[in-house]
Amino acid sequence: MATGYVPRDRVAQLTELLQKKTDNKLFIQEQHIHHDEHIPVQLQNKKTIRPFQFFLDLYSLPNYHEVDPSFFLFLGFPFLFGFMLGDFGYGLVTLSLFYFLKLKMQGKIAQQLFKILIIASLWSLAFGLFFGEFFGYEEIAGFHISHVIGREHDKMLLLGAAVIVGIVHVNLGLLIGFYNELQHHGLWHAFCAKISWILLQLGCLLLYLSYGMYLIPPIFGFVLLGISVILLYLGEGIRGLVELPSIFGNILSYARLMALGLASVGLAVVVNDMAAEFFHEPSILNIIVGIFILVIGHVINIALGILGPFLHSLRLQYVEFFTKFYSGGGIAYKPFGAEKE
Amino acid sequence: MALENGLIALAAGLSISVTAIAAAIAEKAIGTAAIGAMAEKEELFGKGLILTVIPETLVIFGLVVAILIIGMAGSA
Repeated sequence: MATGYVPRDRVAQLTELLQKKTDNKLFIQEQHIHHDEHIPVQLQNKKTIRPFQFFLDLYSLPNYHEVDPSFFLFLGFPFLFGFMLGDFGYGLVTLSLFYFLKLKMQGKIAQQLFKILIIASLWSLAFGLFFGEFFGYEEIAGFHISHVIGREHDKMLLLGAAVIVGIVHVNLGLLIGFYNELQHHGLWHAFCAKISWILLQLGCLLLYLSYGMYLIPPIFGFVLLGISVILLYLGEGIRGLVELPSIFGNILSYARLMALGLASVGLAVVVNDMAAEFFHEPSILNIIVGIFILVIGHVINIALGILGPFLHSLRLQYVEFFTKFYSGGGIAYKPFGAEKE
Repeated sequence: MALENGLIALAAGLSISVTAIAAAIAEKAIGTAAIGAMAEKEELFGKGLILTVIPETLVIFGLVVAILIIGMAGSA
């Protein structure tokens, strides 16, 4: 007798194959198990999303009962990366670099990684247009690049944009968490454990409306805050109350989107200014030194601009986003007799 | 006025530098442990790297506070 797991949509295929090989001498029984914690998982995603499973291998596979977050990684990771490395010129460089490396380097992990980074570079290009930057310059040959937010000048606006991205991302995580809880613990528990966080944020918003703008009496905000804290206690117990301030830390943590972006622009501008001094008095030596400074400076800045945003975007996914809904701990499905990589 | 500006700049600088030292102390401990774990199990590189950058949040909060200090001083 032998037992094993098979992905649900391959059961029929396997049964047929086994019976054919053995001339119907086998007795095969199919069992559905739902309450076993140790069911192995196999992630199934579309081809564009599949590389992002790499980040789940790095962290922890989802267990059998929860949503596979690959799709949300596909949306979130490159977006946040592009927000931090939002420069059209740098985007072009990283895009061509990663495309070249993807052609050169074989191996499953390298391929996955470079596919992810190519998508991230595309977002960099998009944000380069949004911020109107080309290698730190805001104008090329006297022609001003139009922008929605100029990162160098509107620091507070950029900070606001980063925090808004944070609010959207964290609440998306809470909603996925709500769905997960709904599947396994019922509506009431899911409401207490996840929606209470959203109510908490709304309560703070109402308080801001009353104390910051004097639009409504503060009683509404306090009532909503009280309700959310009680719900949180019911949903997650004392632990939830202890973790109460963490939601604000999580959201403020997205300020790194602004910080890394500013650091990147700042370095680019410094490099450009240093080189510009040599171009003021054109002589052959000055021009060579100027070009040398430009190339070295931007290469260093791009290297930092890949490493920093990559790690920080990943960190935002793992620490701020996943903690809202993800428990992980899944075991990878390894078919019997499958080839080792 | 010059003195006030100087104090504001000093405050902003302090908020970044002190948080940077704090993050450095935290990362020192985490980095050592991560390297130790990697020596045992090499596939922990990814997790180690992520854990090591976690305290950088401190510096980012420091930067935000610094920008706020400068902004408030400008409006006052």
